[in-house]
Amino acid sequence: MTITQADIQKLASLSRMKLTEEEQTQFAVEIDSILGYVEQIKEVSSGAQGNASHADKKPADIAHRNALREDVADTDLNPDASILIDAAPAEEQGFVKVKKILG
Amino acid sequence: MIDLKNLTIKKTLESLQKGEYTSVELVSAYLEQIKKVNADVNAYLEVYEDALVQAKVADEKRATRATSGNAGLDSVNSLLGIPFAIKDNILFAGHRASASSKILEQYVAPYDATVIAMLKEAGAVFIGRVNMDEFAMGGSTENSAYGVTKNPHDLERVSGGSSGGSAATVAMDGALISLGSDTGGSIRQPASYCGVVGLKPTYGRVSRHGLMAMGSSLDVIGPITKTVEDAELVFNAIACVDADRYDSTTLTKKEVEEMTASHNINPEKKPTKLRVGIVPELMNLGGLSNEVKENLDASIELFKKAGYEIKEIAMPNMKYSLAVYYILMPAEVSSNMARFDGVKYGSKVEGADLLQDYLNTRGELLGKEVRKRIMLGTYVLSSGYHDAYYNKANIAKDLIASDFKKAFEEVDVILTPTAPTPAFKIGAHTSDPVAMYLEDIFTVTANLVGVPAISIPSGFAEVDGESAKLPLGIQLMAPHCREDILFVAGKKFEELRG
Repeated sequence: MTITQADIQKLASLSRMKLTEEEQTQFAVEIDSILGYVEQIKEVSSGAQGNASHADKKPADIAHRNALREDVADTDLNPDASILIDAAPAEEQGFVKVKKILG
Repeated sequence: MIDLKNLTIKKTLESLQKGEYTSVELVSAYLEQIKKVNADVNAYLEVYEDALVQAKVADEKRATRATSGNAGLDSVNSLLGIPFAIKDNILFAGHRASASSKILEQYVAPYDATVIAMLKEAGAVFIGRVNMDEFAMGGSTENSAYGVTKNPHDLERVSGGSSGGSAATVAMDGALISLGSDTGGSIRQPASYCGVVGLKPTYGRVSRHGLMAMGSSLDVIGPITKTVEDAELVFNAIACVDADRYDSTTLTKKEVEEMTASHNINPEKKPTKLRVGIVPELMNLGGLSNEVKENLDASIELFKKAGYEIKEIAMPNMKYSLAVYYILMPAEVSSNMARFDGVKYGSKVEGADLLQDYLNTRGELLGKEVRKRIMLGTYVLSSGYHDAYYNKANIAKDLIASDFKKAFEEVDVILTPTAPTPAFKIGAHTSDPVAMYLEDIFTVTANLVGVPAISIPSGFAEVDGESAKLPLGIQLMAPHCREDILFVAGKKFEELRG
């Protein structure tokens, strides 16, 4: 597997990040070398899945249980809305301001 | 003059109680020390303006308690007046938290992380926020947007990472305790490099609410301290069930009880004869330095001296841990980092339209390592590669978990080095990401499986031609929710090392 400059451009676009040309070259080399390293998990047989049955593994059980609380408004849970709005880079009349979304 | 070098929580509380010094005097002593050494080490990003105010409040509280006849310490005030440093990715209401990133340079925390709220309750005093790799991504703090944190033992070397500032500040006596976060070794590896103790609790035992998310299935907050006992005291103060409020991934009381009971041993029972597992095949992995190997052998001898039983165990899938980690972690990073878009919080770089706002903001304000991991995660999750990488990594993770389950039928604790080398020189690995990632090889496994692990100072390495001696650490891992085993074995180890 070789990561090309075009792959990098596609990934950058999917992740909504601008890259300089120099960064594109550098990231292509580095991501290629990391993928080269992680390749080794291909040795793990997919059939191995059966070995790690559900009953066997605690962390997965934790990941798969629901944790729900009563659906009631709890003002303690949230700081004052204005504090959150103030954290936004741009605001107007108590709203977070963004550029036009629909053309 | 307070002897900061040899303070522990117990000693400090005693002195405060006896009136040998006040919290204000203690915090002033730390501020003095920070003034002296921080310019060289660069551990603190900010010393809080209200540090002394908090100390004064602690003194007043102590005085009120004394006059009301309630002078003793209870759980509510178990850390009254104890000075802490906070990793820059943990929220302390009304104070800045930047995750050492430019994108959050001006961000002020709107609420307290659960750990901060609990420590406040316990009476802790927060001195300031300390440096880290940007958004906790890295193993050397070289990825901080605010400069590297140097190792107090040798200023040409890194302090480790990502909680490098947290480890360095305890090592340089800039705070008695610090909080770090650990996704793949970010508490333990810097603790090992800086010669201090670092605890990564069981996943879900400490609330992640108010910790900036990196890899949500791996992240956990823990203490960096000088002694195992201090790590235990802080752990007891921050462990909690937060599932009904802020963090649904914390373990419930029932789960904690079940997990604790599932490994049937009482380490407090005398004489303690714990079974220590060692993994010979790990020693053959590349990159392990001779000093570390010799130090591990010496540590094994110490445990034998303690009457502990040393057992060789097989962990056939552990060798895949690092590869699994560098698939799952970036996958989670790529989705967690989507929130930094220049709309909701932080700084923004304007563009012609909304899309350009995103591209500019993320492109210019997120550092290289962060962007690299976002792209790597996007790649392994993309259609066509999802099965080959992400699903395969999850299968391998389950296999590693079953290795652990089997191992803990035979042993109570697993011993490895914390890192394959002592602290490396600043800039040594910057051009080779894989060499840098290999420093995590012994630590990532505990995160993948969720078990608790601790790094404890185990001696020093002498590096050829250099005068400074570099600290080394051993890592102990225990079954889920059995931090108590780590504390018993860790304290025994400290005692034997003297």
